[in-house]
Amino acid sequence: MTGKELLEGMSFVKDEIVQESEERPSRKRQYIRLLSMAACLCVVIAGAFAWEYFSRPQQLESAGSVASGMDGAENLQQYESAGNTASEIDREANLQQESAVEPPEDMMNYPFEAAYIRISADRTELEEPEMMPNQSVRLIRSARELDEYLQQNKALAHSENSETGEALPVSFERYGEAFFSEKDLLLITPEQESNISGYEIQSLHPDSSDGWVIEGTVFTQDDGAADEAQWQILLEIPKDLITPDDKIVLNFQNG
Amino acid sequence: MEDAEIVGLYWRRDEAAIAATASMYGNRLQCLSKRILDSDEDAKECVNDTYLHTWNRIPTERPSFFYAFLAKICRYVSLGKLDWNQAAKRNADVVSLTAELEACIPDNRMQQYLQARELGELLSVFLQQLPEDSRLIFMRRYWHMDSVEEIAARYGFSQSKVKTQLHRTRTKLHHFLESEGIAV
Repeated sequence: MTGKELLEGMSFVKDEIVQESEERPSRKRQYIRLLSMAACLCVVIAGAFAWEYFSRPQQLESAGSVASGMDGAENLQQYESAGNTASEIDREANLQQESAVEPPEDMMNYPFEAAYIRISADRTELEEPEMMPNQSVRLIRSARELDEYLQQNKALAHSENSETGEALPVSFERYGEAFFSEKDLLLITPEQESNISGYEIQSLHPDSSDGWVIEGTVFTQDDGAADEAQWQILLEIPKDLITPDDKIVLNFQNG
Repeated sequence: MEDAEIVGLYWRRDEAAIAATASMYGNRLQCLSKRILDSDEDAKECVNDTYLHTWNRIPTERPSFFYAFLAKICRYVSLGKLDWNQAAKRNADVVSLTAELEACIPDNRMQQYLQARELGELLSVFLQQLPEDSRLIFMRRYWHMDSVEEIAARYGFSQSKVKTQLHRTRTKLHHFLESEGIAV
């Protein structure tokens, strides 16, 4: 049999087969195809969003302290616990991601609470106050670490909270296991001068390298204080925001 | 006018049936024939032959799918015309002589027709076994003689899909015909 005979034989296939092939593809068929394509498109878009959403915490983590320094998952968890919707979380996360490129200054700052402690030598029963190294920062991540620190720096036990007047170590009692389950503590010993009347921390943010910057203002007075006072600042920061290996720079401006 | 009404005119031997057929399906038949013959004049001649054949066959036949009925006639006539044209190009004298001798062979054309009909029935069985997409693509290519591009555009498939489907269907047809004892 030749191809030509086969082609001629095709002329005699059943009418209904010819009719079927002559008809235009039905609208239903076209709709099914369009719906299939639309469904595929939706899956692709959803996949892209999902990928972006789930990969963001890793991006933030990998960006480290340069971008945000805060663990992305924890960040999201905080928003979720505050009752924010997914889209709000997404939007906020987007803002944070954008901040990695060119962040507005206020977007880079992290929440903290500060307590300012003035350690007066007059109130110590020690012959000489144990002076802590100036311009130093110590990260405390547990109640046990804090106890050890207080043992090493007994002068703190004879100081008071400059705002509340609360005697220490009463002020330290709140820094128990419950506190350290949610937060860490930064113990800052700023530069000591006799004419310093106080400090105020303005911001905590990552610097351009792998470290952190604590910005603050130092207030001075004309006359030096009579006692050999020493200042220490307690900074309550989000848990695991800063690691022991991170470099921290203090930047105080005169107020 | 509905197909049934046109067929009714043929049954009543009303010559208006030809005009109605030409009005309804003349252009489509012309396109089908021209696709085979690549000539407006030859296509027009074949379409007129189609009307004549239809006039002769209705009655006694009453087609359920009128356009398919017309198209099949038109296609067969056009292929016959193509065969004649190609032979004529080879050598007019030889073709003429061959035609004269073929006239001496009893029912030669009828035998070919019967063979083609039998093959058509086999092909119908084969095509009905195929998935719808494969069947439509195969019919558009080898019955309507559409190009691959046209088929792809008609059904919204990619050209590669059309080519793949055609290849697979040809392979299946080869096995089918072999299983039916037809050497190809």
